[in-house]
Amino acid sequence: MNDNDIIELYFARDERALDETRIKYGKYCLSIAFNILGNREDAEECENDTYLGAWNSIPPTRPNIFSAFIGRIARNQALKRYRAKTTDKRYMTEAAISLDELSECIPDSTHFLDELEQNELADIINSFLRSLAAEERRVFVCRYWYCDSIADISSQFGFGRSKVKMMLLRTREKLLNYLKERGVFI
Amino acid sequence: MKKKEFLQDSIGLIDDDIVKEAKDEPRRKSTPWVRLIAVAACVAILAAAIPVGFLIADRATPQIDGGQETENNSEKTDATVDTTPQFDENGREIWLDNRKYKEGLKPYGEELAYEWSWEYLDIYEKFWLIDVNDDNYYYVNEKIPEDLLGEYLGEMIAYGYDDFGDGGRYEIDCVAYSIKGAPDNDAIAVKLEGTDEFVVYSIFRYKFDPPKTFGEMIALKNLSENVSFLNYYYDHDEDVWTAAKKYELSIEQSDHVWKIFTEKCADAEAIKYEDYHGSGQKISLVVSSDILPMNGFAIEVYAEGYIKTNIFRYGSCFFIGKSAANEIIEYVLTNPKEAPEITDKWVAGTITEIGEDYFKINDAPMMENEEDGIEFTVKTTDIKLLRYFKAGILKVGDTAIVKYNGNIYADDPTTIDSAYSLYECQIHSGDVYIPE
Repeated sequence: MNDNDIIELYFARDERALDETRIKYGKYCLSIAFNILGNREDAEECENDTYLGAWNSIPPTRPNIFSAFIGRIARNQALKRYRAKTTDKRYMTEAAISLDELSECIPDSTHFLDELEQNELADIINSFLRSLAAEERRVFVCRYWYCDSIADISSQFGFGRSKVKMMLLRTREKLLNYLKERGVFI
Repeated sequence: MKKKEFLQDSIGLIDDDIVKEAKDEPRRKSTPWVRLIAVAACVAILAAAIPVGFLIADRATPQIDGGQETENNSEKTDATVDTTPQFDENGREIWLDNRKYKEGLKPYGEELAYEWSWEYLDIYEKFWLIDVNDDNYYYVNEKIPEDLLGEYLGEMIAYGYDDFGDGGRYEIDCVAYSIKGAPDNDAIAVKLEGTDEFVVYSIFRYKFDPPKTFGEMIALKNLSENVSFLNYYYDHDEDVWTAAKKYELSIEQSDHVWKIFTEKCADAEAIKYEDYHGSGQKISLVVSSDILPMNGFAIEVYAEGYIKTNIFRYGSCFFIGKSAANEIIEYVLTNPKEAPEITDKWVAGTITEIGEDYFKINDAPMMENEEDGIEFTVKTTDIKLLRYFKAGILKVGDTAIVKYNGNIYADDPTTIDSAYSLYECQIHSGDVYIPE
């Protein structure tokens, strides 16, 4: 079933929408959640929450790109669940590792501007990402949006792991400078 | 909110098209209908269920190291060539390769997980799902001999989705049988229309209530009767199974392990899989079964007293106690018999010609004297090989490796008709690349 038909089912409040979403995007959502949570049971629960989230959001939302929309819900649900559990230091999932990497983009002893909204920062990051070469952008998004492991990214792009790590390191450095130039830190 | 989480959440709000592009856009602009995706994404359900590195494929295929260059496991050498003529079961003489290969030269490469557009999928990749009553079954890449067919289950429909084309659902007729002895029809034998062999489709166990004890798990599918262990891997110290050596187990040894499992470990209680990380000495018993779709999966026994397994595609863990665990480990390590190394059969070289149902590859780059190179004709109609050419991923002049599982014969020593794998590689010695 194509995405528009699935969305129509949501608008018709037809519960087949959930089945069709699961069939088409179940694996995708589960893999995003698993990357973040590193735990099968939690990832499955999160996946189910994702369908519920979609059910509650459509309507009124009519997603332009359904895969990104549903993936975003899965990511948010997984991060929420992950943060509730991360008092355990052993809980080193890809989300935790990528989060540590991201902290390099925030200079020590600085903070984001108090008045900075997440949407504003997202807009800046959007501009930054659009300024990158496609491959560099995609690798960054795989790592920090999908929380894919280095090994998975290596496979996806056919690069060696060291190349992926190097690309990410350089992109993080560029992002840090980009954010500094736009004065988002205090 | 912490500042790095603020940044992480802001990244979560980036535009949809950027999110989609990361997974959608083809890697090679010259081949816009082929997409390369992560292995883990290809098998996301399994990846979600099975810890990386735990699924043991008991086959000779080289391991793919997450995108790292991976050395093929057999360096060809002429040092120990056995010149005794060899014959196949029909008495046909097998070609003996007594050429001199260049010392230290090896093909390096990896078989990448491309996600192919619909036209490049084989029939099982296209129609990988079947609904039976309320259950989903999916293709598990195993053939099954007809003497294992049980009850006729009827005509069915296998289906799949052209996810990267029109998104539509496509169907094909098939017939299905139960598999003799397979409990609860967890796996069924299916013949798709237009094919002439039965293959296994396994239940899509999206939800699984883990057994409370190891005994319950064994009883679930009568594992002690339906599963045997033909091999095991042994790790002396570290929990790195790739470093483990592989050993054989006899039927008697396998039965004895099951005896210990059923008699001494049945009451072992399940613990959360992620609560035991696994360390120290362990053996990994490789599962073999004619009727359950769990070949190549493993049951690991840790000297610390734990069992971990993924045989139901879900990680399960039980505490059996140090005594039982060590009894099993000590038993299988008594008179260990190292399993013979299974070497891949392969030819590496330069693609020289591409046809509709064949291609040619010249292995001169591997030779001490290039004149010794042979231009092999690889005959195949397998779309899984030919699609590399059709999609433009491999072309004349590229260096590639072909793997095959049959023989090359003395009366036709330039023909390979049993190729099963093809991928790009580089031929070099250590870090020094040999120019093509």
